[in-house]
Amino acid sequence: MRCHKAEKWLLRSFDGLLDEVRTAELEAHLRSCPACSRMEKEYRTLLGILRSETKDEPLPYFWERLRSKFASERKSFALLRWERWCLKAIPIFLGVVLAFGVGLVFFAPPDQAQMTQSELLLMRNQAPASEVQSLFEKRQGEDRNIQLIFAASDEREPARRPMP
Amino acid sequence: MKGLVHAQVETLPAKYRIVLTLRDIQGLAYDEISRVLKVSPGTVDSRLHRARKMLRKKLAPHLSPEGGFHALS
Repeated sequence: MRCHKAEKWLLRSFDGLLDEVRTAELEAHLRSCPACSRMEKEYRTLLGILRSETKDEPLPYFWERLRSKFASERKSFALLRWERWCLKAIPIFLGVVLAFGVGLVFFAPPDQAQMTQSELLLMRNQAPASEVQSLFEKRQGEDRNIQLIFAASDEREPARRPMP
Repeated sequence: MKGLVHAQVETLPAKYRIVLTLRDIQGLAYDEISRVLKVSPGTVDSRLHRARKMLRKKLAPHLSPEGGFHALS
């Protein structure tokens, strides 16, 4: 048995977690190895001091309060981790949005502007007013009549005359 | 001597100090410690193992060749 393994088994033996076969093997090693024998005495002394402490009885509901405190600390720790993650994620998200915006401005292909009806007619080498010219001519008389009606009403109510 | 040992226990990192205190001073079982700390019994075992090794290393200058303490011999 190697000393490293002996130390591991020795520490387990202090808690009663070593079976009989391994205990016998450990004891044989301790008899043959002075360094491990000394180590065993040191551990025994240390644990003897620690375990000889007079233990005060805990206050009522000590363990319940301890468990709830652990639980609350665990929750706050989780919340803290979430906050830290958010603090990192928000600038990254803003940076990505900004980069996307800059990319759109500089690298996006220019949109073809929607042409008006007049522009389309011009593109077809047609006069824009040619189609409606006949309508204007037809409505010429009506428009004149309407203008006369407005002029007559304006004379009656000069305050409502529209400014040119 | 107890004061020296406890002073060295206080210098251990918290996760080892807690396990050592619960096991070797308070006398809790492994499964109780694992329930309290919400860790596996294997983790309790490894932390306790490391805590004891660290404590022995810290107290090595005060230990006599016979395995006891200089002050006790």
